[in-house]
Amino acid sequence: MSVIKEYWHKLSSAKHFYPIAGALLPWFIIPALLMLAWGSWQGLVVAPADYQQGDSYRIIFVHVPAAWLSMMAYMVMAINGAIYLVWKIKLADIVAESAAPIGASFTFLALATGSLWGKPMWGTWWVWDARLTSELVLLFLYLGTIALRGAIDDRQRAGRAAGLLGLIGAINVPIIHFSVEWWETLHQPATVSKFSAPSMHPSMLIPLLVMALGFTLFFFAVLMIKIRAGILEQERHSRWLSALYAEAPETTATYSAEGNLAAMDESNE
Amino acid sequence: MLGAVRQPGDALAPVVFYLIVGMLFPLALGSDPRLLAQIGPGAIWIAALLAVLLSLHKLFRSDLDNGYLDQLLLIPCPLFLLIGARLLAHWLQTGLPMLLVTPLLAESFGLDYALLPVLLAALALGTPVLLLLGAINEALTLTSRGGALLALLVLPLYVPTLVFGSGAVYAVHFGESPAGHLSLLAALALVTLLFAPWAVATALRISID
Amino acid sequence: MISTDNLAARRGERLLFNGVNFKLDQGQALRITGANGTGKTTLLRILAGLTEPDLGSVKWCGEDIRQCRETFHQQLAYSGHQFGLRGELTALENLRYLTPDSSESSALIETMDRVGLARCINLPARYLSQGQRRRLILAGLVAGQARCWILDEPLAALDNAGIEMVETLCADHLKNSGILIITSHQNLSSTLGRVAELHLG
Repeated sequence: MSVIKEYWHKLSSAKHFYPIAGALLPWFIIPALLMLAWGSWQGLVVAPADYQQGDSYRIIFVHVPAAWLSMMAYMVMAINGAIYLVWKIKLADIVAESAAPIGASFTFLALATGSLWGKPMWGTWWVWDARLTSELVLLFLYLGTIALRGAIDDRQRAGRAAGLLGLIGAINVPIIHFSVEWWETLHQPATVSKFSAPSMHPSMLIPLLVMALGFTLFFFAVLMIKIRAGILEQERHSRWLSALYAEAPETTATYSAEGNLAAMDESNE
Repeated sequence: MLGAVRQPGDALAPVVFYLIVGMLFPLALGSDPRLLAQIGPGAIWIAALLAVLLSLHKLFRSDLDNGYLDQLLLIPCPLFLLIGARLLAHWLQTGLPMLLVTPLLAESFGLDYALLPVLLAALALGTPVLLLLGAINEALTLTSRGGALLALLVLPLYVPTLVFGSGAVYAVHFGESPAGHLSLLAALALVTLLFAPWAVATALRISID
Repeated sequence: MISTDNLAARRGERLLFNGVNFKLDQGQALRITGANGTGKTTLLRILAGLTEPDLGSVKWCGEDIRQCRETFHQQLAYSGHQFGLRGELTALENLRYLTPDSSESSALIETMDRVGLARCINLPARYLSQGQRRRLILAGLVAGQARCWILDEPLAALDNAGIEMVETLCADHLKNSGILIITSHQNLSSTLGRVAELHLG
């Protein structure tokens, strides 16, 4: 038990996570790129054309994984935000802050590809479909969290406020999703969901799953990079970081207050 | 001992806003009675939503500025109860008058009288939810810059209420039972009532820190 | 019976103070001094339980105030830079809000008289001058009968008569086994007896 505790303690410390993130990075990015390449080739070139939608359905190989990732990224953001709110682990705040823009980008990608899908099918750039509308609301939730973080000057307060908002959003996302589906059936009683893909042939399903996995790994890769950047920014005065990069001596001795701050941080972790 | 504070001028503003926004729709869309009757429920809900948002603006800001918020946090009573009482008082000041003038708006859209009870019930359930969620947002953005822009934070959260609330009225409009919508709205109201005061209290503590 | 355990706080990137330790018993007073920006107000807010410290804890009667929040706040009266008065309420109504435990209007009016606000009882608070507002807060302190007073710059905006009155009230509070924590740029007169000092910065 104490081993787990110690391991957890180490993992949640920025000092220890920094090299771990760096080490994990190639393990994420290389498989990610490989999978994305293979998946794209399979999906966009090799898989047969859909009997109903022709070739334009191929966009789902990007649209669906992007949508899944947008949800997953939100969960990562919300959970880490909640951890920061309750246990004040600073690394959690960095993770939440890093996950937000990545998730927002995936949401935007899902919306853009959804819109691109819609145009050849139904002639309009936007359709008030349950899935797309849910994604739009999710985008607003993301943008709101990012904006809130940016608008509060004090970093700790910003992190806690964004954490609370992320938590509230996470609880609301299922409710919102349900209400949007309800809304769709209410106002368009006879339509089947436009973006449904009833059953998929393995030659389509496998590339889709590979793309999804590739996107997931890509997400984690970018997340690791952002976390490392966040750690660098937050810990820029600390001694362990200076030692790591062997800075010139005069920079570590300027403010005794910062030194105390760093010492406080180290003893806190 | 905490009760509603009477500030007649401020209290009426959201109600007037509600009426005015409601009246803007016919002006913008033309006076075709069928069109108005069709968009009426939705338009009224939008007006109500905006009016609640307006009423919440600066809900806690003056309290922050004059130090009253500090004293509020120092009262030896669980903060979420105080917040709950405060928001209840706020709803009585704002939501209740809005309900009272809703028939006027309904008339201006030429809505069928049969729709009125459902509309009022839905608004009665929905406006507290809008109020509570908006209060969370106000508390979170208390110390941030650009407060007005951040009021948009709350719009995703308003979607379910809007959907169920206006859906209830449209259900009756189409001759179906509003029971499903109203019970969902009621469930939403209950959950929000239980959860939101705590969220507002937490957000206030964060902002004060 | 208020004590601190290695308190530390920061604002943003700046460390305000570190390793603050003290213990105050009944009848004792502490004056916190320091230049502007050294964290006096932050320390007071931490002591009152409005702000969380970055390290350490505050204890009331041996218990961490985060655990016994309600008990502590029942015995606490805090007066910050802003007055916490609601402008649209009258002076008397504000007083009633500040002292929820006492319900006797006559006692409140008597207290207002004591601080020299007899003429302002039914005046909306926004018409009061700075000095009058300060006196109203003092009336709240006296009427509230809290055991621990934490006052941030209570002498600001007061004339000599006002300063004298504050010191007298504080001295009475200490005589009644109260605890006093105060920040002040001005030196306090000897009416308060021996006052411990804590210097920040």
